[in-house]
Amino acid sequence: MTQSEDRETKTFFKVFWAWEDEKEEQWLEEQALQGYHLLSVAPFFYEFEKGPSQQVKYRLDYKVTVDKDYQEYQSLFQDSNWELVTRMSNWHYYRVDLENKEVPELYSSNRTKAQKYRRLLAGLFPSIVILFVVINPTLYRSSSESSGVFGTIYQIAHIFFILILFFLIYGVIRILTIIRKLESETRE
Amino acid sequence: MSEKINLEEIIKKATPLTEASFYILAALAEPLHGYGIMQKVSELTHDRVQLGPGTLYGALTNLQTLGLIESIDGSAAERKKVYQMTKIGRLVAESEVRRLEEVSRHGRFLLGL
Repeated sequence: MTQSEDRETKTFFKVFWAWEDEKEEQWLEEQALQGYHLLSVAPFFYEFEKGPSQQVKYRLDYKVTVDKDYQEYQSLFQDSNWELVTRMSNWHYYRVDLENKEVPELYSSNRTKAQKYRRLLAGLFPSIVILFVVINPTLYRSSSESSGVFGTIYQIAHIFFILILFFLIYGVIRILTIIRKLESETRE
Repeated sequence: MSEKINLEEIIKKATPLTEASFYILAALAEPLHGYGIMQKVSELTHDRVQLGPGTLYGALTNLQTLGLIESIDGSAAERKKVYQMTKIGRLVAESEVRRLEEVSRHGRFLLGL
C-alpha cells in the first residue's frame, strides 16, 4: 500500500474479548475484503487504511514483550514471512497475503497452539492479583464506614471491582475451555 | 548407572515426541537457527511437515526445558539463537528412531506389506 496525500483512514469501534481472538481474525479478514487494511489497534478501537480489496489471513498471537526470549520469538516470526502489522499490549497482529501459499499457519499443531493460551493466562494472572489487592481495602472500608457520601462511593467501587473480578474469572474459564479442547484433540 | 536411570526417566517424560518435535530435534544433529530448522524440515519432507513460527517457538522452548537441545553462544553480532541437540537429546532421538522402526515393522507385518 503506497502512502499518498489522500490516504484515507477509518477507525472502527468493536469489542472483542481475549478469548474471541479467532472471531477477531475473521472480522479483520472481512474488513480487508472490503478494502480496509489494519493500521493499528487500541483497546476496542481499530484503525484501518482504505485500499483495494484483498484476500488476506490475519492471525493474533500472545507473547509478553518483556520476556527475555522475546527477541528470539520476533526473529522466528519475521523469518517465516508473517508480517507483524501492529501490536496492542502483548497481542501481536500478523498478516499474510493469501496468494503467498508457502507461508504455514502460525501453529501447525494444537498442542503448541494451546501454549499460546497458556501464555495468555499467565499474562492475565498479574491483573487478577492486582485486583485482589485493590478489592481488599474497599471491602474493609465499606463495612466500617457504611454511612455518608464516602460510604456510598466505597460501596459503588466495591460492586464495580467485584463485577470486574467475576468478569476476569469468566474470561479465565473461557480460556481454560479453549486450552482443554485444543489439548484433547489428536496430536499434530 | 544414575545416568542411565536419568535417561530412562527423560525418555518416559519426553516421548513419544510429536512429529514436529521429532523433526526439530533430529534436524539439530547439526547446529541451526530457527529459520534453518524450518527450511531443513520443509525440504526433507517436501513441505509435508511445515513448521509454523508459533509451533517452532513452542517446541524449541519445550525441548530446551527437557534438556534435549541447547542454544549455543554465537558471535555477539549474531542476533538469532543457534541450537543443537544435547547428548541426552541424541539418545532420546535414537530411541525414537528405534520405536518408529518398530511401529513401521509391525505395521508392515499386520497389513501384509
